[in-house]
Amino acid sequence: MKTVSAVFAATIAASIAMPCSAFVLSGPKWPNNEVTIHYEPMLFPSTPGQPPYTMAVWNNAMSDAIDSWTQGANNLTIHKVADHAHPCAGIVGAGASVIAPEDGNRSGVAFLSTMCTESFGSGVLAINVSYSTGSHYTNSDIIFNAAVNWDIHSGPILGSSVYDFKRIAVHELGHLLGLGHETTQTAIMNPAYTDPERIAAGDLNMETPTPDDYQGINTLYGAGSEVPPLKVVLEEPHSHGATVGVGNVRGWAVAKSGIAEVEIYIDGVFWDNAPYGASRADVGAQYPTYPNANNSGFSMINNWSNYTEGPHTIVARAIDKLGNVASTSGLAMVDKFDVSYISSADLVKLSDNISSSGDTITLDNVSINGKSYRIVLKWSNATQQFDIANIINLF
Amino acid sequence: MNIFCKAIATTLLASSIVMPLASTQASTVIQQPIETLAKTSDLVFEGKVVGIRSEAVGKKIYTYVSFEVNDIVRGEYQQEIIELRYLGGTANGVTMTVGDMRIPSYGEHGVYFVEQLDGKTVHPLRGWGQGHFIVKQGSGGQRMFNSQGRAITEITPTKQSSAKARALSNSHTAAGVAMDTGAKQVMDLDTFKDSIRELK
Repeated sequence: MKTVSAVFAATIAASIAMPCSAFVLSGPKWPNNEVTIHYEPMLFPSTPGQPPYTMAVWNNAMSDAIDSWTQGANNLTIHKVADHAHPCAGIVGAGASVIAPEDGNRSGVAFLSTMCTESFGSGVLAINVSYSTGSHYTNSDIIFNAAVNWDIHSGPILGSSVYDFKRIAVHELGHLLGLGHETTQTAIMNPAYTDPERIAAGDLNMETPTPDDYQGINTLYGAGSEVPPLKVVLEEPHSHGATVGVGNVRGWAVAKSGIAEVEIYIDGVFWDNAPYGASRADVGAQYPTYPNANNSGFSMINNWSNYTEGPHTIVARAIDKLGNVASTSGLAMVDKFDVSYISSADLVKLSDNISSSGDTITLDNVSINGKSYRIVLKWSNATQQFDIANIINLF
Repeated sequence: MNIFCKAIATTLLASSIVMPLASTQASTVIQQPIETLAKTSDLVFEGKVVGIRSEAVGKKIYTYVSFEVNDIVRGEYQQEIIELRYLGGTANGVTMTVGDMRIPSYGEHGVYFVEQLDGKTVHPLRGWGQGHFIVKQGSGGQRMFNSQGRAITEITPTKQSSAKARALSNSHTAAGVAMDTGAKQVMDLDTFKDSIRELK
């Protein structure tokens, strides 16, 4: 175990020297980079900690959780008000009267036994419910399941059935501020926490936001930040020339929340998920504020000889980590020889009949596997080479 | 994620497979074993989304998703269409969002674990995203993915599940559901349904 831990330590140390980011943004943000949270929880949990805590203890824990975000949020002002705001304000309950009076969209915290009127369902610890119009939040509340066995403590978790209120509060506050779940990095916004170094050290949980979490908030509320778009570009095949033999289906995709997957469809039928993450320094330079834009390429190999001659539609469908979808399409003008695979260069014989005009080269009477063709080559800026533009069967 | 980050992630993941794994939850929904989800759901069905509508009821907004039922995997249901209610959605220019809630999109084909047929829960599926699986039609047939698009390779009851299966799980997917983004042997729909039916 010590050897393994040492490997982790070295790896983590390296990651600190070269930080990685993969935060996920929910979409909306608070207007004017300001949010006010009435942080004192309404009501008590049903199982009020061991020993039972006073309300002041829960209030202080919530206050500390907010402070942990304030420390790293450079462009967002978090106003912390020592007051209550009922998450169910203005919502009609079972008795046809409102659960709590309308409060003008105040954001608050509560321990409740239901989500105002709905059952939480099995296994639910806490919920963040937000309202937004356009790209801005208008209200956001955090509701803790009062039936959960809550406690407040630092260090290793106490067991599988006791949950630390403050850690969950920090996580839910991340949602309230505009972050989604991050699943690839060590982060308080990661829904499953498995940091090997901390586990090896006996600390089975983190308690505050990580640099990745802060980077997410600072990206969302950075100067001139806007709600993130999603963009996908299909670069190959390109419709100005013929698509022949084995070729690429490639392009790039970026999203402020990160790309979850890129699906490729050919003639309307799902073909496969394209491997994503190829180096694209040019895209990174063009989209410097998009996470992982430097590695935003996707590419797959396809043997177009297996398709009929003529046009085939290719659609690249990018899905970001918020579930947003963007797609782009291209056309593959499949042209091919009479054989699907030319197994040897010996089967290809050029004649002396070669001509050129501008950026086009014509090879006449080319014999391939015993049959004659006229092959037209044309310069392509996209591929930076002469591509086959046309294949004409000579009878 | 750049190449360096990928290398770190790969190292951490590979290492976590060989060491005893202790995973804790910092999420809103506790991760549950797949057999628990299967046994405690009122209904598990394969279906396709054929309709979505949202409406405001006072301050709340609900989204009603209608599914054409293709197959019953567990439980009993006699009708061709089932409608599930999700808390949240957009109506009258206002969007109500419940954290972690992923509402199926129109045309989605999937397998769904319904918590209560007559229930009024925040999320209609057992374990929220853990009870939500997506079917994609590929050249090799109908393949299974979790609600976040990760390929599913195996269903193993948690008492028998390997360390790898646990290492690759998170609260969006039940314990015992093995995933591998790079896997080519993605579980097919029929095998997946058979595995769910056999869970005890």
